[in-house]
Amino acid sequence: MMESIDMSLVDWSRLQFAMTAIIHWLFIPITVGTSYIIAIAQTLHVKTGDEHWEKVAKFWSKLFGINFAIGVGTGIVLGLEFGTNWSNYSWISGDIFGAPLAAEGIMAFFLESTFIAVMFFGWGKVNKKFHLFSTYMVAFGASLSALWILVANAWMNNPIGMVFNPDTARHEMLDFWSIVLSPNAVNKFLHTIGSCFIVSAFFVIAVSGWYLLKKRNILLAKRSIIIASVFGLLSSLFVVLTGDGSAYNVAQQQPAKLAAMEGLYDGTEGAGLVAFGILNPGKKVGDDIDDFIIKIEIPKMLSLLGYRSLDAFVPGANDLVYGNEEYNIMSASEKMEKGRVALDALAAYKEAQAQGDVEQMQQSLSEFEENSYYMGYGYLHKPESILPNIPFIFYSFHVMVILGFAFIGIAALMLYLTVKNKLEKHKWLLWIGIWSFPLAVIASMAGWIVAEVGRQPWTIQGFLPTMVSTSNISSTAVILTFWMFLILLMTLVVAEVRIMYLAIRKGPDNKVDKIKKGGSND
Amino acid sequence: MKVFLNGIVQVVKNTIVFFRNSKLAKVLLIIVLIKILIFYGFLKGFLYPRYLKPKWDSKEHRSNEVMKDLLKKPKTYTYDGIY
Repeated sequence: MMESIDMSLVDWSRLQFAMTAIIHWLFIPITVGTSYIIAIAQTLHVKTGDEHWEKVAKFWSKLFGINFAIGVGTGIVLGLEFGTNWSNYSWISGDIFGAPLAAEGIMAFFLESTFIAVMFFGWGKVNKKFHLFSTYMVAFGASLSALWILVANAWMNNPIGMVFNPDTARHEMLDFWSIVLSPNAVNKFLHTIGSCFIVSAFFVIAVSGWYLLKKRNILLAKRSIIIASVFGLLSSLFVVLTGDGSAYNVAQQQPAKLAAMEGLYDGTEGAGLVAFGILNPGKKVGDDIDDFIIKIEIPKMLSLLGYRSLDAFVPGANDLVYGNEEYNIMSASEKMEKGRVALDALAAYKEAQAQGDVEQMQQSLSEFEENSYYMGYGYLHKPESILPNIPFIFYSFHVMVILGFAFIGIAALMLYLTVKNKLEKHKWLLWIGIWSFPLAVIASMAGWIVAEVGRQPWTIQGFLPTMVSTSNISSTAVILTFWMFLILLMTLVVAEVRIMYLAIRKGPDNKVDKIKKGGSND
Repeated sequence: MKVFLNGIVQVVKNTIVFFRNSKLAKVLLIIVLIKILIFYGFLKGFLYPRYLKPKWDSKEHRSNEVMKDLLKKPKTYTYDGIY
């Protein structure tokens, strides 16, 4: 057992997880969202009998297939990391975290993999309605996969429905449904799925826009843009709606994250929402320097979003660190003190247990339970540690929000000009459509940064700090596996980009009947 | 039911023909097979259990080790890094 903790172990473990999660997430939104776009095109084909809709569905199925084949399994690396780098976390939360992940494997993955063969290879071979049903099942299966992961992630942000067992050092599940149906889990699922839909909509718009610029596959491109722009517009509006739910949940459960998202240092009643701002780089918690160099604010909006009242008090970073008696906000120091009492009581409980002192055990357990809510704070070294990196979260959040609103306008304009049959004349908009795809990926990544880095210093909010969640291994092992996973996953990313580019350049199969005769469709 | 099963047989036949004729499908299949070999064979089957996975004799052993960590770290751990 190590006597002191290797600091680089925490940093490398975090970096490795961030790297693998980011690369894994490059594949997910396209799989989740494009499956619905294919299903919509196929539905139009079944309803109208128009062969061109079938061609649209087939083409996007091919790109979906490339993304699925290359992306599938990249999540396995994340699963391995839980065991190698985060074994304390895995043990402590395994009872909670394991259940949704097992549900994913049993329900979602089997649903997806059962119907995917019919979706890819059923053209002209099975009943059209059964084929369409299979495509929808693949789409639902992909969403269901995301659901269980997001339920587990939501629990990390809002740990409910469990109790910590000091005998086993584990969280034990009390109520599965309160975890699955918590407002945080429901909202996180809807918000994330919505963001996947936006990414996939702009993936389709980007490829179709490129065809229009090249004056190739015009009909396919226009029809694809109609579906994608409607899908993207509705998804963008839906994400704004669920984003409001996210803001409310964060305000209630993670006020430090909200303060970081808004760069709010001093809490105030009727707090405004920063629409655009540049933080003062020299600003620190507790000093008198101005928070912002420049900012444009929507008055009272943050109070309304976070607390459903225009005049509600929104605590800032200073209030959370130093406390605010007027608004009954406990200081971080007090929480840390209570946390240390909980940890000392836990140690006394284990010692009494080893000695068989039942009376001392009960006394210590009672003291532990009284303060266990603050247990995680007992690990923190200084009060400021309760805050995440404020500039990083502030800019990530605002990049996500600004891009999210821009997508509404882009999708609406795309739809309008396509319906008016004027889109090809506006090359600038086609270029914006092309660039919107990487921007949608960036917005999606920024959202994850807000969610995950914004939760720091915790892996399990308020209970388990990230630094206590790691395994007792040398950082050398983590550094070695970091480079190994990076090479492995980047090889897949390069393969994805290369194969996808070749397939897009080649375009759809113009011989629609070829596959029906048992031939190739590429 | 017979129609349904016949359809499934057709799907299987079509899949085989598809893989025979499509270069893209062959490339993707090779990528999937290599991934299975690396992820499950090398990483999960060899590297992880032998070298990466922390070793415990039993669940109780693991539970005790985690508890030791939970109780030890507050005294030894000071992280001033950027979260």
